[in-house]
Amino acid sequence: MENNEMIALNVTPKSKQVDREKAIRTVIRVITYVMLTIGAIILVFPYLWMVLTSFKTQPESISLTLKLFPEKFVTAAYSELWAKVPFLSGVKNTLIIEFSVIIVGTFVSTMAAFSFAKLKLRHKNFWLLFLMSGMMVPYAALMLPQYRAFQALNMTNTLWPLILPGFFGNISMMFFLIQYMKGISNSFFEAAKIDGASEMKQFLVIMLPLVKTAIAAQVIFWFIGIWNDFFAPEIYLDDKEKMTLQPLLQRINTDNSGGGNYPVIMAGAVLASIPMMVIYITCQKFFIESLAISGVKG
Amino acid sequence: MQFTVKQKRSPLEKRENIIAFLFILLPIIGFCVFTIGSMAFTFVFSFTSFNKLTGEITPLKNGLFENYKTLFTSVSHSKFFIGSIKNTVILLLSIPLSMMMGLITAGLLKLGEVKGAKIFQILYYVPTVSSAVALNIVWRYIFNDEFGIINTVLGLDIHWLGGGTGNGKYLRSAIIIKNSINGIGSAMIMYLAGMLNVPKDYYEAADIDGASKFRQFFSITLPLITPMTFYLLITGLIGGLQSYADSQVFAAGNSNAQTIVHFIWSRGIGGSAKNGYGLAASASILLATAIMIITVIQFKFSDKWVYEE
Amino acid sequence: MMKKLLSLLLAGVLSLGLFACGGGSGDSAPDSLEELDPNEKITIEFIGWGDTDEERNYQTLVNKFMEENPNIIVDYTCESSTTYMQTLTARAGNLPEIFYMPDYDFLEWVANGMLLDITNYVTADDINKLWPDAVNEYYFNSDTMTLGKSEGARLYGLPKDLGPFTLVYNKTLLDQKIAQYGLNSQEIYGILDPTDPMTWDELIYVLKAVDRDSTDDFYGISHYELDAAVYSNDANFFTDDASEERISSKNFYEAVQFIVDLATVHHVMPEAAKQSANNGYTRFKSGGCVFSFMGPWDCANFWRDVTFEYDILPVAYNGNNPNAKSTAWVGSMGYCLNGKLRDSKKIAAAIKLANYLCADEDAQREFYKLGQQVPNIQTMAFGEYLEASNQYLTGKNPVNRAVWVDTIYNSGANDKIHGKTRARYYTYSSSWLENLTNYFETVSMWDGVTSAKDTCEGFAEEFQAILDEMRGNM
Repeated sequence: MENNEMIALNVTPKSKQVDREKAIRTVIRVITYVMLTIGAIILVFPYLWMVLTSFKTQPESISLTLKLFPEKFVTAAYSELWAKVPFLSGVKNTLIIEFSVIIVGTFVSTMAAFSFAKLKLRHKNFWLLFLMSGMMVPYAALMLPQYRAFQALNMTNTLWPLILPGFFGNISMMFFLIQYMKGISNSFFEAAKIDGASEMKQFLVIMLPLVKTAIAAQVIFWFIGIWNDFFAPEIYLDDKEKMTLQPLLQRINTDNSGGGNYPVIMAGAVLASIPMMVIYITCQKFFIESLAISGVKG
Repeated sequence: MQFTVKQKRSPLEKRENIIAFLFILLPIIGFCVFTIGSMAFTFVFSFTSFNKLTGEITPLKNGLFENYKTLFTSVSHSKFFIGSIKNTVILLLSIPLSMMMGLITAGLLKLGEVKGAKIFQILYYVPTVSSAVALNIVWRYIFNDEFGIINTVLGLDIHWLGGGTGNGKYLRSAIIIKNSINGIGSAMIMYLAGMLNVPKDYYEAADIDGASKFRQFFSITLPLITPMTFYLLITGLIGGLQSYADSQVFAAGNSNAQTIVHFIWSRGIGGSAKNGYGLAASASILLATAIMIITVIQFKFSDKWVYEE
Repeated sequence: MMKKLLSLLLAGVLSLGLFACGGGSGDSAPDSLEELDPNEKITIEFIGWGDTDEERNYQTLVNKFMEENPNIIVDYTCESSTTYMQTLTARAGNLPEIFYMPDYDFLEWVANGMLLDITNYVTADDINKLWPDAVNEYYFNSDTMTLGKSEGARLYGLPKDLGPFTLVYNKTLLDQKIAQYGLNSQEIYGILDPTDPMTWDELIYVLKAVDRDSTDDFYGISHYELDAAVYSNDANFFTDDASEERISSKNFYEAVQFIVDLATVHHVMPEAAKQSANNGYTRFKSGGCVFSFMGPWDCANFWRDVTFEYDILPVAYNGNNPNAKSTAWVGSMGYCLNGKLRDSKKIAAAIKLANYLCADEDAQREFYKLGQQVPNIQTMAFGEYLEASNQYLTGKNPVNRAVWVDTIYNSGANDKIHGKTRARYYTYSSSWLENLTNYFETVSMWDGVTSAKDTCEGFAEEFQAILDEMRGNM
C-alpha cells in the first residue's frame, strides 16, 4: 500500500484544473483496473480450469463443445486417483526430504553466513567468491557424474540423492543471510566476546534469535522449491511408491493422457498444488518482500 | 578480490580463524564434492567414450574432441543437438515478453493509484510458486489441439501441440505464450521494488515542472530501473537456458521443442549406451561455459550487484 | 592446509567415480542348476512395465507363483513404459534378477553382455510348445554378432508374448453409419473379412463410405501404422542386416504416400498434428472414428472402458503390388535375466518365474482371461483361445481373435495374413528412426506439403549415412 500513498502525496491539486485532473485520473484508474483484472483472470484461469476439470467426468473433459462448469460435480477422478496412485507416500517422501534438508541445511547455511558476516576469517573474500561461483554452474553439468556416483552407492531410487546435497547448505540462502546479518550491529557480539562467550554461543544465543524472521522467509522459499522440484527427483526416482510429488504427478500425466483421462490428471495437479497455495496465501508478505529485497541486493 | 596482507596474529585471533573456518567447512566440502568434483568428472567424460551399460570407459577413436565434433557434425546426432540450441534460444523470447508485461502492470499499479494493489500482486505472483509440472500439465490441456479451451473458445484450428506443419512453430509459440504469462508476476514485483528505490524528490521536482505522470514514468522511472531490467534479463537468461520441464512435460518429448538440457538428459541418462554419455557430457560442458560467460558479463557490467566486503 | 584438503577431497570424489565405473563380470555362471531347497527362502526382484491394468494382472500372477513356490519371494515393480528403459539403463550395474527386455533394445543389451545366457537352464520341452518365432527372437550369436537362432547362437530370454498390432473397428458405429447413409451392409462386411485381408483401395472405399464429411471432426480411421503400411507393400526400411537403406525404393514411398493420402487426399484420417499425443486411442474409444489399431494388450483396458461393440481385422495391403501381403507388425518382449547373475539359487528361482510367466498353462490362461495377451503356447492359442465356447471370452470383444493368432503364426495358418518383427529389432540403436521421424516432420510430409517420393528419396543418402554411422558404433 505504501507505494500508492507515496503517489498520493505527490499529487498536489493546486490549480483550477482540479476537476479535469480528477477526471483524467479516474479514467486512468478505470483502464488500469480493467487491464489488471483481465490479466489476473488470464493468470488465474489455469488453476480454476484445473479444479473444474478435476470434477468432470472423463467424456466431459474431452468434449468438443465448451462447458466451463461440470454438468454435475463428481469426485470420481479423486477416488480413481486415490485407488491407483500412492499419493500419500508421495507426500510423505516429499516431506521427508523437506524436513531433513531444511533442518540440517538451514543450520549449516546460517552458521556459515554468521562466520562470513561476523567472524574473523582468513581469505574471507576468496571463500565467498569460491562458494558463490557454484551458483553459475548449471545442474545439467553436474547431474551425469552425480547420477553415476549415487548409482554406485546403490542410492538411486532412494531419497538420499535428493537429501545428501542439501545437508551441505544452500548457497543462495547463505548469501542472503550474510547480507542480512551484516546489518546487525557488531556491538552485540563485542560485548559477548568480552564476556568470553564462544563463537558457537554467540551464534546460537545472539545471532539466531535476531535473524529468525529472515531465516523463516528463506525456509519458506526453500520449502516451496523442494516441493516443486522436478528434474532431480525425476532422474533419481523410478518406483511410484518412492517418488516425490512432482515426478509422481508427471507419472499420473503420462499414464492417463494416452487414455485422455484428464479429470484424474487434474485431480493430481490440484492435490499437489493445494499445500503450496495455502502456504503462499498465508505467507504472501514474506514472498513479495523477500523477493523484492533479493532483487535489489542481489 | 583482495587478499589480506600477512600480519602477525594473536592466538585468540588464530583460534577464531579456525572456528570461523569450521563454520563454513560443510558448505565448502559440499561445494567441492557436488560441484567441483562433478564438474571435473563431466569435463573428463566429455573426452572419453563411456558405455552406460557395461560401465567401460574407452578412449575416443577419432581424436580428443570427437564428442564435441559429433555434436555438430554427426548425421545421427547433430540435427537434434543443433535443433535443441535453436529451440532453447527461441523459447528465451518469453523473457522480454514477460518483462514487458511485468513493467506495464507495475507501471499501471503505480500510475493508476490502484486500491487493492496487493491483491493483484498476490494473484500475479501465483505461477512463480506453483509447480512447473502442474502448470505445464494444465496448459497442455488448455492448448490441446482438439478439445483445448483455446481452440474451442476462439474457434481456432491451430495444432499447438502437434508439431507437424511449420516445424513445431506452434508448439514453441504455445510454450512462449505460456511462459510469458506465467513470468509476468515476478517481473512485476521486481519492477515495483525497483520503482520504490527511485528517490521521491525526483518526482516532486517533476511535479513542480508540471510533467505528466506518463512523462515522469518514461523519463524518470524507466531509466532509473534499468539495473532491474538488466537483472531480470540475466536471471531469466540463465534460467531459460536450463529449461527442462517445458520439453519433458509440456511438449511430451517432441523434438521440435527439445531444449539443451532435455537433450543432455536424453543422451546421458536415457538414450543409447555407446557414446551417448560422452555426448551429453560435452553438451553440458558447452552449456556450462555459456552460462558462466553470461554470469561473468553480469558481474562485469553491473557492479551494483557485485558483492563487496 | 587448504590445498591438502582440496586434493584429498578430489581424490575421494575420483575414487568414488572410478568405483562407479568398475565392476567386471568375474567368474562364469554355473553350467546347470540344482533343485531348490524348499525350506530356504530366496528373494528375487522382477521389474516390468505397463499401465495399472498390466500391473494388476502381473501382480495377480506373481502372487499365484509365490503361492505355488512358497520358498521364492518375488519383489515385483511396474514401471511406466515411457521411462522403463531409462530406469533399466540406470540400473545397469545393479540389475534386478529378472526383467522385461523389449525386442527393439535386445540387440544392444545382449551385445554388451548385459543378459544371462540361459540356454542350459531351459529344457526343449519348455520352449518347443511356444511360438517358434517368439523364441527365436531371443537367440544371439556373440561371435558373429547376429540375431536369431543359428549355429552357435545362445538363448538370452524367454518370450513374454507376441503382440500383433492389427486393425480394429467400432462395430456399433459402423452399423450406425451403414444405416444412416443407406450403405450396402453385405458389401461392407464382405470387404471386412477377417480371413481375407482387404486391399488399400478397399479400405479407402470403406473409410470414404462411412466418413462423408471431410470438414468435421469425425474420421474413418484414427491413424495408420507406418510399419503396417510399409510391410504390407513388400517394403522395408533397410535390408535385413541394416546395411543398406530401402526407403528410396518405390514400394516404401508408395506405402508412405498411402498414409499421407488418407489424410490429405481422402480426408478420412485426421491430419498429422491432430494425431499427436496418443489421440488415436482416445479418439477411437470416444467414438470419434470407426477404425484404429489394437493389440492384445489393449483388451483389459477396452473391456473396462469401451461400451460399444468392436472387432479386429488383418491390416490392409497394396492390391496393385503382386508381391504385397497383409503384414502387421508384431511386437515382442522377453523375460531376461541379469547377465552378472552367478548365484545358482537366484538363477534357478528367476528361471522358474520366467518359465511360469512364459509357458505355464494356468498362467497363460490367466493372462488371456485378464486381457493381457494371446497365449504363448501354440496349442492353447489355436485351441481353447479360439474356441467360440471359451467361457472366459464369450461375450467379449474382439470376436475375430483368430486374426491375432494368424498374424502371430505368420502365414502358417492363413497364407494371406502375416506378421513381422519391427525393423528396430535389427538395429543397434534407434537413431535412424528418430532421424527419419524428425525429417518427415521437418518437411511437413504428413501434411502433404512434399510428396513421399521426394521426401524419401531426398533423405535416402543421409539415412544411409546414419545406418553406416550406427554400424560403425557397434
